[in-house]
Amino acid sequence: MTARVSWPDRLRGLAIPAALLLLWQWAAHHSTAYAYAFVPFEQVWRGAVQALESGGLLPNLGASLARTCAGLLIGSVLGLALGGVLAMSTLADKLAGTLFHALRQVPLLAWAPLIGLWFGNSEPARLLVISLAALYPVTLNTFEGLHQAESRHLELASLYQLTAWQQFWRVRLPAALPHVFTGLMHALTFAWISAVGAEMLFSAGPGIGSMMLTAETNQQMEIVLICVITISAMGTLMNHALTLAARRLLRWHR
Amino acid sequence: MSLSLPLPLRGPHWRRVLAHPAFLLVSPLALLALWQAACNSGAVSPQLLVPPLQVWRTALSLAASGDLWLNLSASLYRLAVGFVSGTVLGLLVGALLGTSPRFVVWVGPTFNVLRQVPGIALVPALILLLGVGEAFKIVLVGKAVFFSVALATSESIRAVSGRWSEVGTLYRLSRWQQLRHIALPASLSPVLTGMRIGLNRAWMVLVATELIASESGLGQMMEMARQMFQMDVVMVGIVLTGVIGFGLDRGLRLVQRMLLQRQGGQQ
Repeated sequence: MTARVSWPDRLRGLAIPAALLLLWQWAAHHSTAYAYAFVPFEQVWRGAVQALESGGLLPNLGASLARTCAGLLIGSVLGLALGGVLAMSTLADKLAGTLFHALRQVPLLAWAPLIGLWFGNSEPARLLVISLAALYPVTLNTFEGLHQAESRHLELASLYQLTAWQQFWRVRLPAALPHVFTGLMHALTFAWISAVGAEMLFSAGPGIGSMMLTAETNQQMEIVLICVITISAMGTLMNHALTLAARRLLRWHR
Repeated sequence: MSLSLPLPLRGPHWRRVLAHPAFLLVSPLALLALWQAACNSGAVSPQLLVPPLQVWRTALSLAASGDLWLNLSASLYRLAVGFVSGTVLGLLVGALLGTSPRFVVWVGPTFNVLRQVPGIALVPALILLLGVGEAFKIVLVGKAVFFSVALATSESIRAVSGRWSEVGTLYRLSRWQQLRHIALPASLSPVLTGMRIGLNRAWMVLVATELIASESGLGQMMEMARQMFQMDVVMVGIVLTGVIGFGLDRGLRLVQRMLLQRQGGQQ
């Protein structure tokens, strides 16, 4: 689907969205039953302009992004450490591997009620959820990557009589980096989604999830829609940015 | 269950001990023992942590009172309806995306844009559209399954038809025969993987949705318990959601393996 698309084909691709939008607009003006749900475009547009000008959207988005970055940082650092320890020490793996996998089976946001009981409706509660979201993929991929080092490279390392430490830095870690990046990418996507979820579950304070939930309570569909679009666009954008960064940083690998 | 492959059974004595399967249970059991001991000693306040034995007793009493089954069946019903409808639609759209370039031109862009919208972000919008009933939860479950299945189906069909279409042409199979005898059997395994990923996501979104807005379901049971400071009920919910998620994934893996074995036997 990424191949070059001709102009007529592009227009054909726009046909369904256009039809859906027209239907939406028609429903907004003609159906009274869902008048609060199907808001007309002009209202969505006014809402968008207002949210941008009076500053509702940007501070909330900024708070969510900052929170995601903080959680991503905490979760990735811990995940790198945990994945590294589990990969390099069989004892640690045997001792903690099962526990890690058992805890991982719980759907992430199912932890929220317990975290809520421990930390209340607070920033640490939200950060914990996001960090956990980032921790899983980074740990798993770091572990995988460190185990992936090719045996011929390791044989060469032992031939050169590298110490375990040197072997780690010069052979295993470089081989693991592409995996680590994959892990970070999954972590970013997952952290962003769970940040939105955490903000809806612990909705005190600024954040795009809390903003959306407040708008829902006030039946402001236009604000809800603007938030949905912003969240999806940010997710896609961050993913693209990290893919580009990974391609650039890992140029030596291919 | 461990992260690494089993160790070869040689080397020093402790390695053999480590390689024993029972060793994998050491860390979970140790955690439970430590947790119980910490609660018994009174070092940890009961508001912070309830002992595992109490969680177990609460689970039994919830099961006996029937509350648990009511909530469990509500959640599983939503999951089942959403999963089946999402899978059927996903297979259909995925097959069309995989076989018809014209369909890709018309529907592909819409599909790819909607795919980027995370399910959890749709909760408030769907509540406004459909109300806080069953419909919006089933739609969310279905959405998670639909996109995973459709993507897996279209990608695997495209990959397969690229590789095998020459064989098909050689045998003078019609396009339908190629789909029926080549593309569909070969894409079975990736499609089942797509279903597994979809089910996994759907379960997470469903629990989260029930936490945010619901009158019944495991998530709602946990949220109520949180508001009434019943940590034991919350913990029963955590364990149960984990076990169900794990069980569903294992179940589909089993189906996948069985189908592949049957396929291998036929060939």
